[in-house]
Amino acid sequence: MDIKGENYCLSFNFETATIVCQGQLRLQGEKGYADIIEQLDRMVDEKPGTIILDLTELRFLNSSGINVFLKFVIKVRNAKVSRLSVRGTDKFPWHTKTLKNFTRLMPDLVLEIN
Amino acid sequence: MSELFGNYIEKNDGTESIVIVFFSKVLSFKEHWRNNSLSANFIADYWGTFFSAPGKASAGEIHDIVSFIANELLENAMKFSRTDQASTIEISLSLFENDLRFYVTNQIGQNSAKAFKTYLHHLLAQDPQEFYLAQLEDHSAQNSQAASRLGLLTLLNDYDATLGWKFETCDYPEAAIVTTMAQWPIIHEK
Repeated sequence: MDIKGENYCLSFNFETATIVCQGQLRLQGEKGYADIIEQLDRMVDEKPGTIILDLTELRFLNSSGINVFLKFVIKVRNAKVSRLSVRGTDKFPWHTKTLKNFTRLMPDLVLEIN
Repeated sequence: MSELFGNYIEKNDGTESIVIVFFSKVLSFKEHWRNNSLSANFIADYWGTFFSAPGKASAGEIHDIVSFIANELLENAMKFSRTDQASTIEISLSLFENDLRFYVTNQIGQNSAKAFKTYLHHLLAQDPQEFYLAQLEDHSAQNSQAASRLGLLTLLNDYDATLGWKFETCDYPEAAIVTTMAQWPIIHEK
């Protein structure tokens, strides 16, 4: 299923356990992210072997969004069921600056920055 | 009378500057949310004109970093501005030889000002990286959606920004004027 807004699209594929994020995601506080959090939680609850979070086309993410994804990492880590693979790019500065915090929270997370 | 926190540098114009003022009388600033991103991207686009010097971060990188910092500062101002009176939010960005300085000024209620000062005392007394991760773990454990001001911590930890705050008295006794400064070094460390 897709969650779309004016400048963003998030695709959740529960069969392949893949989340693809595109565009500019700058919603208002955690409440603005409620629909997205619901689907992220569902992905954790499905207990797949590996969850792929593909951020390579996500140019901007505000701190509320960073907060949402970091909490998602904590949920995956605490569930102790799924591995987590995060894909980023060095095209967008926030990927090289901020995604390192994902591995601080979950050291066995696989982070690929191309 | 003013009160300073962090590494606040008094405002001056630098070599190039841009100032945008938002005024709202009917709608609360929260209802302006979409404009934060538009304004941040506009400021970043505007600033692209000035960056092509060798040894400095690339124009594309500076664009996205300026947009991120401006958006975070505007979001904070919009989120915490008082809603009981018409008020303004001003963002300015000035270029200096080795750094960019952002200033965002808005009015907040006295209770918000008091809570913000307490938070700043706490923030400035700790290692920001540890504080950031500890806050995340706490909020995640409590399933809390509290305003965690992770934007300021992201600027400190991930963007090497220097932050400072100035609180001033306001014409309205129930409010205070707060200016947040973010200084970002343009030149990469070798």
